[in-house]
Order: sequence, then C-alpha cells, then structure tokens
Amino acid sequence: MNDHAIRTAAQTAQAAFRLPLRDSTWRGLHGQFAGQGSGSSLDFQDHRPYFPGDDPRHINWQAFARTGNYTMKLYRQEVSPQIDLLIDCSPSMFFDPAKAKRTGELALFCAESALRLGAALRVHAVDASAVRLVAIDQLLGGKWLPAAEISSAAKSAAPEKLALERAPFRHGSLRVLVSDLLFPAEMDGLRLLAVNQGRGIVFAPWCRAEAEPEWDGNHLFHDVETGAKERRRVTPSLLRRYTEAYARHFATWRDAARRHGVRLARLNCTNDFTSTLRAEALPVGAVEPCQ
Amino acid sequence: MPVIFDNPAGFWALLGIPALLLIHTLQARSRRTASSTLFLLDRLAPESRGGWHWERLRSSLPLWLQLLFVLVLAWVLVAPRWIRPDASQNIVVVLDSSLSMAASLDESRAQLPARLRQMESLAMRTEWTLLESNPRAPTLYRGDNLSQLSSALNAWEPALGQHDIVPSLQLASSLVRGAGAVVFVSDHIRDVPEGAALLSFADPMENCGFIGSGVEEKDGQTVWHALVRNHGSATRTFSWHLAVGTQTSTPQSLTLAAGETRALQGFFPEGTDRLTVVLQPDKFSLDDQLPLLRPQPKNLRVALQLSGPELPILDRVLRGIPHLQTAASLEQADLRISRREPNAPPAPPAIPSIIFPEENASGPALQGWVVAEKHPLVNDTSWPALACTHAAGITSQAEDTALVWRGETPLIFLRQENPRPAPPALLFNFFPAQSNAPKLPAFVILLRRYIETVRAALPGFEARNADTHQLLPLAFDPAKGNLSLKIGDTSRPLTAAQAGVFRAPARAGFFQILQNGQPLLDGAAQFSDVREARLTDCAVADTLVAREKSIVRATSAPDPYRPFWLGLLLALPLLTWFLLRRRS
Repeated sequence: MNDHAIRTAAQTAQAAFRLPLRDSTWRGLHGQFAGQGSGSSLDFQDHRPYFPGDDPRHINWQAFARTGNYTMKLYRQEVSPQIDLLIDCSPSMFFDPAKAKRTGELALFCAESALRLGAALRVHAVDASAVRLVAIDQLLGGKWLPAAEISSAAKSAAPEKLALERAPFRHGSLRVLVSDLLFPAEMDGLRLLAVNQGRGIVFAPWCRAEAEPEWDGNHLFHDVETGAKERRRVTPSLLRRYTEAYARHFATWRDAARRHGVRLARLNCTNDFTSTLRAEALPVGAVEPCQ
Repeated sequence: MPVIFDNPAGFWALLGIPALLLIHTLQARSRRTASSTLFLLDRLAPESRGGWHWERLRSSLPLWLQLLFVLVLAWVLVAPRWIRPDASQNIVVVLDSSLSMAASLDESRAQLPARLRQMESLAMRTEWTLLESNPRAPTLYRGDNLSQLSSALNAWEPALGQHDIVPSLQLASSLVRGAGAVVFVSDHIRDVPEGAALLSFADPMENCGFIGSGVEEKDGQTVWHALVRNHGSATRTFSWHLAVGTQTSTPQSLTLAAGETRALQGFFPEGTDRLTVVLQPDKFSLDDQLPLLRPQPKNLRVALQLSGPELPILDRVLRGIPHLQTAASLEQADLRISRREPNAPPAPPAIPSIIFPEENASGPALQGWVVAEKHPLVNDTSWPALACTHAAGITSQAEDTALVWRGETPLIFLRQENPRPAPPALLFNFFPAQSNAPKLPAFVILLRRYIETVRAALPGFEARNADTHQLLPLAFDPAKGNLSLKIGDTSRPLTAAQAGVFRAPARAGFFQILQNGQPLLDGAAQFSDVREARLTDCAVADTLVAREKSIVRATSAPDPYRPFWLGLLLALPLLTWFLLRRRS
C-alpha cells in the first residue's frame, strides 16, 4: 500500500473538510467547541438567579440596578470534544487494494481532523472478536495497517458483527466508525454508537467489486472473512438477486443508522478521496466544510 | 439464380456448430475469486453447484460470433457458385451392353436417375442422350426430359457378351458440345477414354450357373451333359431340377466350392425332344436355366465319285462325320467329291464339290514355305508341316480364294462354280495321297469344316443347341414363303437379310424359325459366357466428380462476395478474442 498517497489524500481532504463538531455540544476539557454546560467563553448563553458560590464576575450588575436582584449572566462552555475512532480491521476492509487505500485515507483523515480540532482522540482497532487500542502515533505513522491485518489472521467460521460492545466509548463522545458493514445487518447494530449521549458517524467504504461484481460462470469463491472456499455457478439470475440482496443489506443499515441518529456515509473507493467526501459524506453531515 | 456448391465436402465444417455448442455446454473451469460478500450469496438459493460438468447453454455474444464464424467458414469452404441463366449442358449416358449388367440392372435403374438428377442441377438446361455400348443398337433416348430417359432405361436390357466399348464412347464424345460429359454406366471398373466418366452401382456378387452343355447319343439313348460352375468366392449349396414341359423333377442339392465346376448329366426322357435344367435362381438369372434340345442335324447326301489313292483317305474322313449319307444318285446328292479337270465347266447338277486333280495331272516342283490364309476354313490350323513336292498343275483364277500356299503356288483354294448362295467348290492343287496331308489334323479339319459349311447352306429342318447370341445363318428356299421367329408365345417376321445374319436370342430359352408356318429351325439358346457370369469383380465406381467440376466452371460464376466472407473470417476470431479477453 502506498502510504505516501494515503497521507497526501488525507491531507488534501483535511483542507476542505473536517469532522462535524460544530453542530452539537460536547463534553470534555476546555477547548474551542461548545460544551453542554455554561462556561467562560464570550458567547452569551442565558441568565439565572445568583446562588451563593457563583463567580461574582458574572453578576449582571445592570440587571441588579434595575431590579435589585442578583442575576448571573451565563456564557457558553467551550470544550474539547472526545472522539472515539473505531477502525474495522476485518479482512474485508483490505482485500481490495482500492478499498484498503480508502480505509487508510479515512482512518488518517478522521484522526488528523480530530487532532487538528483539539479533540481528545482515542483510536481502536475493532473486529468481530476484540477491540484493541491503537497508539495515535502508530496510526499517524502508518504502521497500524499491517498490525490490523495480522490481527485478523484468526478466521471465524462465518462473518460476525463487530465487537462494538467491547469498545470503551466515553460518555458524550463522538464515535466514528470506519467499517464496510459487511456482516449481517441488524437494526440495533449501531445502537452502541449513540448510547451515553454519544453521537455516531459511520464511514463505510465500498468498492465496485462488491456492489456490482462481474461474476459470470463458475467461480471458486474465497471468503476473505472466513477463509472458506466455495465453488459456485453464477448465472445472470443469481447475479441479479445478489445485487438486490446487497442493496437490501445497506438499506437495513441506513434504517438502523436513522433510528439511532447515526450518520452513515458510504464512500466509494473509485474516485479521489476529497471528491468522494464532498459527494457522499457532506450531504449526510458526516463531514463539514472547514470554512 | 440457383446456387451449386463446388466443394460439398465443405459442409462438414457445419459439424463445428454442435461441437461449439458442446463446448459451451461444458462447464467452464472455475475462476478463483476473492469475495467479502459471500454471506450475501449464501442466502440465495444456489442454481448450480460445483462438481457438475454440464450446464445449460447460455446465450452470449462470443458464442454467437463463433457460430457465425463456423457458418461463414462452411460457406467459404463449400465454394458456392451461381448458375448462369443461359447455361446448358450435354450429357451422353452410355449403358454397358454386357450381359453381366443384368445382375445389377435393378440397382442401375434405381440409382442412375438420382445421380443424373444431381448433374441436371449443374445447368439451367440439360440435353440428355442415352446410348448403349452395342454400336449397332439405336439411340435409346434423346431430349431434355430426365423422366423419359428413366423410362427408356427401364425398358432397356443388355444383350452382348464382352465387346469393345471404345467405338460407342467415341461416338458419345462426338455428341458432347460445349459443357457436358460422357457417362459410361457399367458394373465393373473399366478403363474409359479421356473425358468420359465411369459410373457403376454394382457390388461384388456370388453367382452359380451353367457354363456349357452337350448332347450325345449313347447306347441308343440321348444323353445330355451340363457343366455348372460356382463363379463366387465362397462355397455355395443350391438345388437344381429338370423341367420338361409343365412337369418338374425332384430338386436335388448341389454344393460347389468357390471356383469349382461340376458336370451334370442325364437321359432325355422317352418321347421328349426338349428339356430344361433349372438351377436355384440367384441375382444373375441368365445362366440359371439350360434349355436343351435333342439335336436333329440336317442329313447331307454325298456323291463320292473318286477313285485312286485318295479314295480311302476320303472314305475314312467321311465315316467320322455324323449324319452323312451316300447319295443314291448324283441328282439326289448335296455334295459331290470327284476328280476332274478343274478348269472344265462343272457338270450338272450345280452342287458344291470337293475336287481333286486328275490322276495323270502333273505340275511344277514346289518351293517355299507352306502358309495358310486367314479364312474360316483354315483358321487356327497348322499347315507348315505339309510335305508335298509337286503341284497338280491347276492354274488358279483371279476370282478364286486361296486357302493354302506353298511359295507362290496355291495348294488349296475355293472357286465359286455355282451361283451364290451355293457354297464354292474346294479344289486341291496337289495329290494328298502323295503327301503327308492325311496325317495332318489340318487337312481333316479342313474337309470337315467344308462339309459342315455345305450342310449349313443346305435348306432344310434342323434342331440344334446354340449359344446365346450365336450367329446362325439360315439356309432356306425363298420360294417357299416368309420366315418368322417364334420365342415362347411371341412371333415376329424375319426378312431374308435378317435371316442371313440371324443370331440366337440373347436370353437362354427355346426358339423356333418358321417358314410359311413350317418349322425350319428348332433351337435352344444356352448362356455359356463365363466372362459375363463372373460377378465377383463387380465394383461400385463414380468418377463423375472431376467432370462435374469442369461442368460447374463452365455453367456458373463464383460467389462475388467471397473476399467479404474471407475478411469476415479474419475479423470474427479477432472480435471474439477481444470480447473474451475483456471479459476475463
């Protein structure tokens, strides 16, 4: 995999887009994004009666002059949001070179975007069996992908859902999942991205070989997830029904994302990364423009 | 315009179509494909699992291109040609008149019209001529209607033994003008002249039949003999019986090895003059019946007016000739044997004579070799051993026919003393008693041949056995009425000219010559041509193909789109290859 190309594509995309942190309030340490409580920023938020112990610097003296009551002037809290980045490291993410590249671009884009925004970032590699913390330096240095591939050497008998329940999501964090969602779809499969006041974004890379395969005749299929081999005869009828099943699969994921308020962006692996974000992630709010 | 194919073998290329379909029906080798979505595929009902070698034929562009390639290839290979609207041809069919053709006549009648119909398609108009190889036979058919030619073929029957086919084929060649062919229809592989084609529809056949016969008087009874031969290549058992009138004898079995000849014999039943020996029928029926007559030769009355040393010689010769009688008087004689001056006018009556020189005659000493002329009386006899020193001094005349010479001197010759058709007189220009002539077979044979010639020219009733198609010149008195030939129940008149060259019928059987209703000749025609009866050499042949090609070139034009088809032949594989490569 060309690490330089991935890094270049991610940096180009960062110039135009970033993770969507401005349209919501966050919990976290002092930072530059609106927090869920009141703080010391310059943005006026509300008034409330004075309680003992309040900072007297925020008493609205003009209001006291008019009413004789102590009224506190509240300003918006500015925090550094917490971002939990989960990267699906199952083999399906890497079996196609374009898809592997897109996965790398997404991981790098999300991580660098989070860091650039001053977010408290945690990166986890996740597959069907485990969640492993990935050092940010390792991710930024481009060393995580081989490790992830090695970690997925243990094949399961059948594709299983990601072990999201083992992910240590922080309270109120933004959960960014980079996964192709190629495991049986469930309506509650994305619920964990939204629990504990969290918000979820799913970047799902897809490639043409999955969506519109050019299968014809006899194929010895090698399941990259399970390692199983299966001989099949693909007829036009079977191919048509496959594409219908593929569409239904992602329709289910969209419904699940909609139910839990998760933003799902499916990104194709054919076009360049920035164009793909503009065309497929921006409309669903999975990214926002930098301006 | 009708289309014909210069190379019909090119249609074999169409076998590529089922081969292609078969190949496309075979399941292709599986391609290795990595997939991350096999779980989606697992949910779908499989239509075909691995392990099957056959599958339903699926329509695909490469398949159609390959089929089109095969079709175009076949079209190019068969070399289509378009017959010109004004194209015509002359086809002269010459039928082999050999009797052996009778065995395969049914096959020829069945297959020849169909083969000729193929030739008819080579031109818009075909002029047919049907001949037979018998040069004296008339044209059987001439016209443009193949059905009528077939009718003429069905009415035709072969009638000759072995004969020279070249004259008839030369005649046929002269009838072909422009495009056309001479087709010789036979049952054997025959050498035909350049430009003629051979057709034969006969397979090798087994045949048993009569090859000869004889009738003789033995102990006061008439005994018949018959030779039966197995002409085939395998041992054969068959039956035979006698048929006398409507009665038949008990069939008897006869087993003959391949090539074996067996003699049958028996007595003529009392009071019966004719019988038929019948073999079990086979494909060649001409030699399966042997009609036999009790012979009844014409009696020849001889007036022997001879004395001297030649008398015992002649007496000994005459005693060996059957049915010869001594005439009571010269007026009742049919043949006179005398000694006289040959140049003197013959004394009446005007009958054939054998004349020896006067005893006191003398001539010059003879020198040189003894040679015989080519004449029926001396053919195939040897005369060089004749030792005679002096001639009798007879001077031959210009109209005499010399038979034997010594040096420049004719020793034996014929002289026409009486008006034709009376036979000429036989003259000896030497003294046989003073030579070794009595010891020479040729001398005895000459006398017997001459006497039989005189007997044959003698008008009168005769019953005899003869070979089929044997020349039997009839001696008759024209003043006694017209002649007619009767075979079975059919009768037809004979002219005097026909009687002079009358031949026994071509088919075995009894026949009768009647003059003014009275029998002149009772005959039994017997098939005995061994060469025609040997049918193991028959073979199927068809050398018309080369001639057809030349006719096609003369009557048709090649496909003008051939370059386009050739270009398409090059383009289709490239296109198929491109499509398959793109798909893979």
